[in-house]
Amino acid sequence: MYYEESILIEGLRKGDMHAFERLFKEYYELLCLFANRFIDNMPVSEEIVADAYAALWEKRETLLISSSFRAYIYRAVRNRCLNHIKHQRIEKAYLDYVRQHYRLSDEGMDSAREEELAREVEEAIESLPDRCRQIFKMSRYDDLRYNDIAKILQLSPKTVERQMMIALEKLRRHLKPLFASV
Amino acid sequence: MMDEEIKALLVKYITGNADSTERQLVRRWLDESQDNVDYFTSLKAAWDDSLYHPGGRRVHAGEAFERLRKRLVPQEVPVAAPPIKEQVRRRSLLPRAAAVLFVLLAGGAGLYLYRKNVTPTTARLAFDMYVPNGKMKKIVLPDSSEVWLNAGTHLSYDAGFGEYTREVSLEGEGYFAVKHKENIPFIVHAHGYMVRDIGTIFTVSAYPNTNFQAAVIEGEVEVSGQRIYASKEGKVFLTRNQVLNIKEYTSQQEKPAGHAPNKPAAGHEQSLEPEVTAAPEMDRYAGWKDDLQIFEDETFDEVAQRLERAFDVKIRITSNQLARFRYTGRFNKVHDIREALRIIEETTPITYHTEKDTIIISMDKKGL
Repeated sequence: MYYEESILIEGLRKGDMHAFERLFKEYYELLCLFANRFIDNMPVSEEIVADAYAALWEKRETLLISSSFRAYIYRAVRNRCLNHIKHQRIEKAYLDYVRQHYRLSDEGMDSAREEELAREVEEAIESLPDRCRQIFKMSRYDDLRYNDIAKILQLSPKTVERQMMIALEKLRRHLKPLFASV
Repeated sequence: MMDEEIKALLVKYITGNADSTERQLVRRWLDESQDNVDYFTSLKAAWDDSLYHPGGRRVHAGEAFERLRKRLVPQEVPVAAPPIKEQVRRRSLLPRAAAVLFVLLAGGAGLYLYRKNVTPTTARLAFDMYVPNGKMKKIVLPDSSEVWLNAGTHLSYDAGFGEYTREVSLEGEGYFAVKHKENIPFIVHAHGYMVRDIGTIFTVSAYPNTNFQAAVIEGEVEVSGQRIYASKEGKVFLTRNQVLNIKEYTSQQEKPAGHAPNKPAAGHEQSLEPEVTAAPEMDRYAGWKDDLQIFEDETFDEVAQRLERAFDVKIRITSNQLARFRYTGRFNKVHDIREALRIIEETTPITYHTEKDTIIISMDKKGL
């Protein structure tokens, strides 16, 4: 970060929308990715992050931030996520994941780790065989279902299924150190 | 080891492709052991992590913030923004200006009372400047940084410029002489790239459908965004006399039609390694500001594009052979397209004529 965070917090307390905007834009994207680990639904995750910021704005005048803003906002988002999950009927398999993950990500990752992760993911995905990478990207980033991918690429759904398995398994192995490190 | 069928099933589940029977199967399998849960968890984490891929994030902080702002400050009233010292034609500001005037007329005293409860800084009035083809302009920003804008360039910034942020958006070409300000970086957004600096002189070139380029005359800048995320460092640092070229577009002929300037052709095609080179002479990148146009081994296609902007003319090249021909030359204080063409003619086998408002340039076979 290039500016003093304390200056922004001070600005926020005074009701300065630009300071608030700066604090929002700095963390929004990564907070959404963080929330999505709990929620598994990006639009809902975005809503939760926006709600956390709305609450921050509402109580700006009496704001108490003991550690860093980063720790503060990550904790706020995490608590909202857990609260959201509590009120949803969610599959046990997913809850198990969240419970494990919750243990690991008390305050989110530090920003250096986030950047590193982005690079690792990129590396892992680029190292996949062409076809496999293409299928994975269509599924993950274009939100296409197996059947649609199969149709577009003129493959059997079984092939898509198999390539997706290979892709995610490779990613899992590549990214494992992160998960095991905590 | 775990059987492949189970793995494929788990992946189906995680990616949202499993039907209800399959989901049931996964749940039963997970109940069998903690190892199973652990494996599932690591697979799910990999799926979640994969969104960190720079090409995979489709969350837009800017748009999200606008939505949130509307929610928090519903009756926003625009107030006058700080003046810029020299104004070029302001594009698309008229309807907004008219609306403000209307509110002022209709609001009267009510507006004044209302404004007492609203921090003026919540208001936003974007500056939007356009320098038409054939022109070049120098402006001074509210923070006293100086910017020269080349022909056919569009520069905009928020009313809040200078307080906590100094961010401008550029489409076209600009020469920036930035005033140092503690803690507030100066950021140029162009073509989805960000050029950040703390106090220096640099140029950015980002015309629609042309390659992004940044050159540093003094100091240091950091460039990030788009495909640079994919490079090893995630950003590129440029110092004095260095130039960054990002080749997203190859030539006029190969350009896809209707290509959006701010988005590379497809979502996740391979990343391009940015190319940083030392510049033998910075005038090539900044000379336009002093009325000096330098062409160095540029395709005729590129030369024509620059001429079109500099002289506000339309040029058509009739042969592909000529479009790929490379031209080197310099125009010092050349203000007329005919003079420019005459200079080009001296070293290049071209012939030209005018049809309506278009200059048709073709290869001069005799000259070869």
